[in-house]
Amino acid sequence: MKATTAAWSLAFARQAQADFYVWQALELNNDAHPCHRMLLLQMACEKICKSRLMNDRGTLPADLQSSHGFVANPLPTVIRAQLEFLGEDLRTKSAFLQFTRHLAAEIEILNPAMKRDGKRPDNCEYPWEHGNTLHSPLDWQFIPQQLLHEKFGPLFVKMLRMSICRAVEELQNSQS
Amino acid sequence: MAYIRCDKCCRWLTLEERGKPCPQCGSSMTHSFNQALDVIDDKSEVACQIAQKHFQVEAGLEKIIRLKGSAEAEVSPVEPIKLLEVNANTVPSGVLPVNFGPAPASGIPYSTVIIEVSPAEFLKIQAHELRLPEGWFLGEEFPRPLEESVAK
Repeated sequence: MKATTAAWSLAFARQAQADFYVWQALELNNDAHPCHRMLLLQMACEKICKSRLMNDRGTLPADLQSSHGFVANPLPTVIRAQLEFLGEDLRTKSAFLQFTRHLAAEIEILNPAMKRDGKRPDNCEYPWEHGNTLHSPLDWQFIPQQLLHEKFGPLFVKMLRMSICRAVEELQNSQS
Repeated sequence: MAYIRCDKCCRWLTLEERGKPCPQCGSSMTHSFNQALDVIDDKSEVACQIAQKHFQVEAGLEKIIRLKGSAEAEVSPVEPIKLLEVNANTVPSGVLPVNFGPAPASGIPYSTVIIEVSPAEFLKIQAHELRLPEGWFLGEEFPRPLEESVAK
């Protein structure tokens, strides 16, 4: 019997959680290069978004398994929903949500498949050529890395972690 | 038929689960609805409250429209509240419904689905060039709050 959409959704949420924890561990490792840290962040974000998108009447697992992106549009909604879940007064979080939109768009671009019509070939996995210069992710300064150190960075990390944990818990409960 | 949900975690209790502590959170506090019409009214009220809050926080939000399924589906308490948000600040990505469970702390006892599209994508939805999920259609548009101002 084929796995249900709900089972796929839970599997993606669990994988997002594992990616998130590895990312956090790498952040504490001085030997880990920023490109590898950003790779794990991007993967965690993409998987939690895909988990929340999977629905029999919405987006089927088959449409999401081998496709890329799916961060810039859904991640701000995922983070806003987490604030709602916590009972936060959204009116006091407008600036944070604007920050999240900017950060989500930059996290999506970390994926080498997302080039924004060739304007943003920078990514955290493969070298790329821009103009006549060859760039390596090893030498690149990634915008999300900088944004995470700004005013709302820590809150974003906290909300991302909580939204992933909530998804795992909700989906586990719905299947038990 | 009455509908009963746990007041704490918002789980809808089955006939077998009623009269016992909630199997999900252990709470014995419940909220009852005498008939399906009461559930529909409550969902409409909650949908409106969600829309008002989103208008207050999202600077680029131009419209929020309720998405409806069949009458049979909408009467079910486990059918999510579905909102289409037209936001000038979003990244155009097509119709991507994002699913969430209830958020009791914010007074949202129902599951929700949010689809965020750009104004250009909304025009395509109206022109049927961009399709909503099967069986869903555009419902009422929520008014902006009178003193709408996006907090900084």
